This record gives sequence, structure tokens and C-alpha cells, in this order.
Amino acid sequence: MNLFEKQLKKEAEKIKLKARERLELRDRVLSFMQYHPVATAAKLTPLARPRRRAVEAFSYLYVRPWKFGAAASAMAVVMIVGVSAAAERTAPGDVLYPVKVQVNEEILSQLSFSPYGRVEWETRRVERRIAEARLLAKEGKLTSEVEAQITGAVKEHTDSARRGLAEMRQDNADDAAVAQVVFESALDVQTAVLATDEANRADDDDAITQLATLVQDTKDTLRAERGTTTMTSYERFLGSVEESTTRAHELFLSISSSINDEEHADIQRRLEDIGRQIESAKEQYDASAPEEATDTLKDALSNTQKLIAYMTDIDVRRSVELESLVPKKLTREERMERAQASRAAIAETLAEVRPIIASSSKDALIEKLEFEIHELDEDLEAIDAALSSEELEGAEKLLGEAEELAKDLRALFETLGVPEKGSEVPLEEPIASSTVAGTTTQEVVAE
Amino acid sequence: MAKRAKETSPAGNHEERFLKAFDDYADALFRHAVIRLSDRERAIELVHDTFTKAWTYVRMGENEIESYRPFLYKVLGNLIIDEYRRRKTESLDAILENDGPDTGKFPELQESSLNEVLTSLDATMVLERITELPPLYREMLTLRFVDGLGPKEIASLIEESENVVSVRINRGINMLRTIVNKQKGT
Repeated sequence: MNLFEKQLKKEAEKIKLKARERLELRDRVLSFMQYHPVATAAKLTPLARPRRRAVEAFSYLYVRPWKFGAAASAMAVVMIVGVSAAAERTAPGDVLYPVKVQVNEEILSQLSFSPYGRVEWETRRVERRIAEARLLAKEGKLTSEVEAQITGAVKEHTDSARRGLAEMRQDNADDAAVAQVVFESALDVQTAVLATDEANRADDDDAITQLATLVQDTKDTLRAERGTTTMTSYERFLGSVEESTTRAHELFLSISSSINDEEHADIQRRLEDIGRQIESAKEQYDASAPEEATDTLKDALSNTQKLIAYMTDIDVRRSVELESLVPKKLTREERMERAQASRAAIAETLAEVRPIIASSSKDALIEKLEFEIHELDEDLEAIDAALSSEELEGAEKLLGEAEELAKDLRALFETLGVPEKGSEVPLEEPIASSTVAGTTTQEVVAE
Repeated sequence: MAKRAKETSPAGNHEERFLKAFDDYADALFRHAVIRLSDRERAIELVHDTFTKAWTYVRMGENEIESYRPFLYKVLGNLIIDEYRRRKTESLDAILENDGPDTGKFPELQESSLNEVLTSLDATMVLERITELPPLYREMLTLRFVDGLGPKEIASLIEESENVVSVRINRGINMLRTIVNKQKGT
């Protein structure tokens, strides 16, 4: 080896695993090995052939010991796997429920060595507990003891996820930021599902309300803990979003044949919206606005995660409208159309009320109405100017204010006794006609 | 004193050998992955995946791994290629197409001229700049100068001829020299 090679090797050897990383990695590999032991049954040294039995007639009853041992082991494995699999479908109160929570889930917890994996797994556990609570509530089996058990478990899993996030923030703020978005998105989905349950229940379902409150409190705490974090990496978020959207597209392809046209169109629209968000983020980044770009990507990641939950969880799909979970993001053209429709509606209101105000006698209320009409006229001028120069954001802001004013105008009309939009203005009583039957000339003259 | 018979089971032997391979090669594999991917966290994950894949191969019991080192490098190499594809970086096929003729002897490949180039480079700077090379040459130089594999071993690992390996190493070094000199302003 020449001098250069020696020097390079020496420099390169500075790149190595930290002691803690090495230990963690070794533990993970060791766990994998323990969970996937060597298949020794096939490799056992064959036992010496047993001596031939003296009574050959009974020889067919003879079972080779090593085959018996292997069969017993295989049966034990089948039973363990079978019990474990059966436990997955249980809810609190079922016999195998402890196997699900204390064995299956704990094993999976131990296998989640990376902090990101832990946060992800605790998120799944929160979803499982809430699904169990909803199922039991629907069947009328959610007793107060079970409710307390589930609420306690949800709190435990959310606290564990929060601890995982805090741990991640110390080592890798970018990963922590991504994990937080994913966790919050999962909680948003659960909030929406629980809100639907609350709305659909005729009685006051304390358990569901309690869970909904717990989930909301967790979200508030997470946002507070996020605090003023340092700038997170645009590239990290871009990578995560691209990975998530790839998964979302694959899922969409796989379920396309089993959903109706309306669902198909809705999901497709959301995927297109997310694609536009990503492009918008890239444009923002290129325009030297990395913070806005990262915020756009966070929103895109959150929407993608919620969309994936919608596509993968049939219970979510049945309970929640996609629009409430992932609202449609209007394109610029759609926003322009909406702005113009809104402007037209305000103008129509003004066209209706102006003649009525003009023909009414002046009083304090009429003066107030005239003032509001004048304000609305000015607003419409400003809105027209913004729309014609394509300052859409400005136009939308003005329209928001004008719509509020128009609503107020309409409400004031009701105090005037002015009919609602679309109803006829009552005509004055007609003057009595001389052709009225039964009236004599003298009676008319007397009037 | 009576000799005590060795009682280690075949499974125990597999585990012992495997864990020894981990202790011997984890750092080297990690170093290789970091230089090729420029991503420490991802490198740790790929090293983990390398060992779990290797263990999956071992536990089936059908094949004995005679030498863990080339086997582990092979598995890691494939995972790195998958990672490149996942990142959708420069097409490896495109890089190979631009590789140019890789047969025959080239005067600049003579050992003495290669050494001349190498001794003119600063090792620290080289290590920093190696990550700027295209994936193909980054792989070659990492295997050669960081992992210390010879052209013959590299050829066996990547299933190419020794000549191809030598050409790529040389081109990688020349590219590196250009990058380093550019940085120096020469």
C-alpha cells in the first residue's frame, strides 16, 4: 500500500459508527436473529436407525423419535401463531385480548428500535384502541371499566409517542418534524371519526366524547411542544412527501376497481391537489422562500397521510366524508370562478335592496342601510380592480369582508319587515271600483 | 485430563460466526455506505438490512457462507443500488452507457503514472470530494481505497472483468483530481 492509500485509509477510518449506534444496531440484529432462528430441524444429525422390532406385525406403529419431536415443535409453532393471529381480531373483554395487547403488541414494540419506528407503532396502537372503543360503543358493550381501560391505554400510547418525538428532536430535528406531522395527521383522522360518532349518537356518549377530548388535548400539547423549532429541512420533507405520494398512488391503483365513480373522482382530485402543492412548494423554494416551501410540504404530507388512512381503513371511509378530512384545494381558475360568482351574488343583493331603500322613508335604520350599501359599492369597486389585475388573494380577502357586510345587510332587512330574497313585494290595496255590484249612485256620491 | 467434546450445536456455530462477522465488518460496511450515499442515517439502515438479509440466507441452512466479507459487501452493494433507484438519481444505465470502451490496454493505466496522480492528491480533501463523484466511480474508489479491496476482488464482487474495474478506477481518480484541482483553483 502506498503512502496515499495509507493516508486515505487512515482518514476514512474516522468515519465509523458511534458506540451507541453500534450497540443499538447490534441489538436490532440480535433481536432479528432471535425472532428468526436457524431452521435446525432439517439439519439435525440423523439418529441411528432403531433396531428392528422383534414383532414385525406392529412395526407400522413405530414413530421415529426425531420425527415426533419435529412434528410436536411444528404443532406448537402453529398453535402459537394461530393464537397470536386470532388475538389480533379481539376487543377488550375478549379472552384473547390480553394476548393482543401484552404479547403481540409488546413484541412489535420491542422490534421498533428506531425512535421513528416507535412513534409510528404507538400511533398505530392509538388507532387500534379507538377502533376497539368505537366497536364496543356501537354494540353497547362499552362499560365504564372498559372505557377507563381504553382511555388509559390511549393516554399511555400518546404519551409514549410524544416521548419518542422529544427523543428524536434531540438527535434529528428533521426526522422528528416528519414523524410529528404523521402522528398529528393520524390524530386528525381519529378526531374526524370520533366527531362523526358523537354527531350520530342520540344519547350523550361520554366515552366517545372523552376519547375525542383526549385526542384533541394531545394535538394541542403536540403543537405547543413543537414550539419555535429550528428550521427543518426542505429536502427531508420533500423526500417524505414523494415517498408518501408514491404509496398513495399505488394504493389508489389497487382499490380503483372496488370503489364507486364518485369516490374514484374524489380521491383522484385529492391526489392531483397534492401534486400541485408539491409543485407550488418547489416554486416557493426556487423563489428563495424555503420556510414557506417547507410549510407547504408539511401540509402536503399531512394531506397524503390522511388520504392514505381514508383509502386503507374502510371504517374511516364509511364514517367520514373525504371533504372534511382532506378538503379540496381549488385551482387558481376555480378560485377565480368562485370569486366572480361571489361578486355577482353580492351585486344581486344590492340590486334587490336599492329600490326598496330608495322608496322608504328616512329613519335611523334606513340611514344605516344606505351607509352599508355605500360601503358595499366601494368594496365591489376594489374587488373588480383586484380581479382585473389578477390579484386573486386580495380579491378573496375583500370578498370575505363584503360577504359579511352583505349578510349583515340582509339581516337588517328582516328587521325592516322586507321579504326574503325571491318573494314578491306586496302591492298596495287597489282603489274601490265604481263597478262594484250593489252600489247605488247615491251611495257613491255620499262617499 | 480427559478431553471434553465440543458441544456447540450447528445453530450455535452459525450465530457465533455471524455475530463475529458483525463485529468485524459493521464499521467498514457503514463507512462504505456513508461515502456512497452521503447520508449517515440511511447508511445505518442499509447496514442493518444487509445483516438481516444475510441472516435470512444463513438461517435457511441450505448454503454455508465461506467468507462473510465479500458476501456482505455484495448484499450492501445491491441495497445501495436500490437506494439510488428509490432516490431516482442519475440512471445507472446512463452512467454505464457513458463509460466508454472498457477493453484493451491504456497507457495511462500504467501503475507508475497512477501512483503519480495519487501522490499529488491530499487524502483528506479526496475523502471529502469523493462524494461528488458519479455513483459508479464513487463505488469503485470507495471499494479500492476505503475498503482496501484489490481490482480482482472488486471484479468478483461486481461481476465485471478486472480490466473494466481498472479503467473505472482510473477514470474515477482523474475525475477526482479535476474536482480537487478546481477547488484549489489550479
